[in-house]
Amino acid sequence: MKFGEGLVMLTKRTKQIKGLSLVETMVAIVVLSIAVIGASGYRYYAALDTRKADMRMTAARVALLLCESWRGVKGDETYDPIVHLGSELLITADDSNDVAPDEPGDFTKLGSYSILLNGVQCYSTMSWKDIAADLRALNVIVSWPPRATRFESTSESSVYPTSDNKIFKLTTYTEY
Amino acid sequence: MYKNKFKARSGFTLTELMVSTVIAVIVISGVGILMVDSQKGWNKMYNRAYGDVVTSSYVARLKFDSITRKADWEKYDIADDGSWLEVYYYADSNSTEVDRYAKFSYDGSSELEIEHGQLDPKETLSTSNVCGNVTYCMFKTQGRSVQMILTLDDGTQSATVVSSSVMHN
Repeated sequence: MKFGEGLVMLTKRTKQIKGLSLVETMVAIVVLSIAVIGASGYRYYAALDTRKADMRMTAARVALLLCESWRGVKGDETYDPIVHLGSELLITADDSNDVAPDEPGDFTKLGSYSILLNGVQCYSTMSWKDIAADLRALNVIVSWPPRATRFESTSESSVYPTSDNKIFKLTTYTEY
Repeated sequence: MYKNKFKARSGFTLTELMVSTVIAVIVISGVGILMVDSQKGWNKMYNRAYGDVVTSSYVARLKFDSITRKADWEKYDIADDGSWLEVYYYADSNSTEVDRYAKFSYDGSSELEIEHGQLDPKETLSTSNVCGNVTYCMFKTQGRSVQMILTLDDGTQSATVVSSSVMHN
C-alpha cells in the first residue's frame, strides 16, 4: 500500500455514512408539526362547533317555550314563567341587569330570567308593547355565553361578559 | 485487505438500531393514541348530535308540535299531575266539527305513548309509541298553549326537551 492510500479509504468511508443534515431534520419537524397542529385544530373546532350548535338549539327551544307560553295567555302582563315552569326547569329571576339582555327601547319589561337547560346557561328578557288597539307585540330575547362550559346546576355557572353573548330575538303578536 | 474490512463494516450498529426502534415506537404510539382519541372524540360528538336520546327527543318534540298546533284551543283535557294530555282536532278539511282526539301519556314507565281516536262515539283508532328511555315527562297548559317537558336518559346520555305550542284552531 502506498503512503496515503489508507487516508483515501477513510475519506471514502466517511462519505459513505449518509445521514440527515440539520436542515433536512428541521424541515421534517416543521412538516410534521403543521400536520399535527392541523389535525388538532380540526378536532378542536369540530368539538367547539358541536357545542355551539348544541347551545344554539337549547337557547332556541327556551326562547320558543317562553314566547309561546306567554302568547298562550295573550301576553298577559301578570304571566310569570317562574310560577308556570319553575317546578320543571331551573329558572330564576335575574334582575341584576348585568347579564340578561336589555329589552328593546320602547317595550315594557316583564322580567329577566336565568334558565339552565341541558347544561346550557341562558339569560332571557321578556317585554311587551301595545302597538294598536287589541294588538300586543311580545318580545323574548335569549342570550347565552358561547364560551361557557357545561353546567349541572346554577351554582356552578359563572358570569361571562355580556358583550360576547350570542342572542336570539323573537317577536310575536297577539290580540288581547 | 483494508478495503474488505471497511466494506464489512457497512450497515447499522446495534446502537443505531436501538435508537431508531425507540423513536419508531414513540412515533407509532403517538400516532396511535392520536387516532384512538380522535375516534373517541368523534363518537362523542356523533352521539351528542345523533345519539338515540337526541333523535328520540327530536321525534317527540316534532310529534307534540305538529299535533298540538292544529288542535282546538277551546277544549282540552289534562291530568291533574300532568302525566297525560288530551287535545282535540279536525280529522281533515271536510270536518265540520272537532272529530278526533290525540292523547299523549306517560305512565311512569320508560315509554311516551300517543293514542289517536275518533269522537262521538269515542273510539281508539291507533296507539303508538313516541319514544323510549323517558325518565320524566310533564304536560302543562297556559291559556291557549300547551307545554311538554320531557327528559330522556339511556344511561349514558341525558337530554331534556322543552316544547310549547299555541293551539290554533
